[in-house]
Amino acid sequence: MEGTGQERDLKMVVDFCRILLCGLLLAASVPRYQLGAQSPVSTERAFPEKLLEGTSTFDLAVSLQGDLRGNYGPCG
Amino acid sequence: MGGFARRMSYWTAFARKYPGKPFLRLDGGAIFSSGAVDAPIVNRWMLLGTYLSKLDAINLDPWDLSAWQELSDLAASGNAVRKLLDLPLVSANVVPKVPNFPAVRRSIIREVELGPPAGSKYRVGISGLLYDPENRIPQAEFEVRDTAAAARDIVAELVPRTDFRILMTNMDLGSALSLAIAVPGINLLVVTHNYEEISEPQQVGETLIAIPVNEGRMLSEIRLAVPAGSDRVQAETRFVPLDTTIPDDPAMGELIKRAQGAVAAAGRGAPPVH
Repeated sequence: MEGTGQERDLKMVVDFCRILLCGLLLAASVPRYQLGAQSPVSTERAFPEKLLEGTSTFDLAVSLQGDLRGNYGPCG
Repeated sequence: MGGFARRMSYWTAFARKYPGKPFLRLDGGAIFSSGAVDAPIVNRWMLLGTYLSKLDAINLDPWDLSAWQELSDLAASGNAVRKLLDLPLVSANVVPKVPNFPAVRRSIIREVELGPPAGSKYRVGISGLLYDPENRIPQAEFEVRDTAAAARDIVAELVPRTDFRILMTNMDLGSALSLAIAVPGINLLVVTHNYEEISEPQQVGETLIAIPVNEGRMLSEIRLAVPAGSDRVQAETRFVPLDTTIPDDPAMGELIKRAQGAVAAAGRGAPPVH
């Protein structure tokens, strides 16, 4: 059974608001998902400066490595 | 694990934070893969990464002898780039007899600027000791002298020419402790013996003994302070974990991707890319 004209108008307004809300949510999600798709790869991350801490009153630093045993990189 | 890309990223960040500070990059050896099916492929990439790392010295380690030889033979036959073998290999007690083997120097001396006063030079001597207590290395291919005698000789050579002396060796920690006591004049002894655990550096007399963490998971770093008018060097030691928080150096990261692709392709039966 069909409702009155006022009920139809109200339903139209509610539907319109739903569509508008969905549209707004969709629009808001696009940049976020775009950012996700272009999320910074490892080369674009900032270097964690904390790793460089230590005394700054030094004259010479020596970096030591050894026993790499074929490990060229992560999971290598 | 770390690897070439994260190490390079750290070195770059270090140079940015401490501009002008001298920074030596040393490799105690045991660079290559050995025995694994994919070792011939992996080792080509290890060589390229090592070359691009611009190291100041590399110890000649018994683990690496066959790989150095294979890579040199490939280069001699035109199947690898000879230039990549122009590396600062050092050893105080090994003389290769085989043809094509990369050049091995008895020592390398790096002069670094200490300042102020401007122009003040500090000379660092670097050498290596190959430890082969069971005489497994063929004498027909390599002349290998006793480590203690060789250590005495190289220290005697370097003392008048340097202010700070570094030896790198594959000997076990116990033997390294004995060497540090028996041979005065070694300021830093780098032990690469593939220990699984992380060991803090130990001071034995005037010698600091440091064990790099194996398989590139961490960098060991030593910051040296040389007070004016003093011959006593102050050292701060630290480990830098090469974990996922460190961004890859772009060029080295690309190299790792290519290496992974090449190793995977080799696993599928594709011919190696020269």
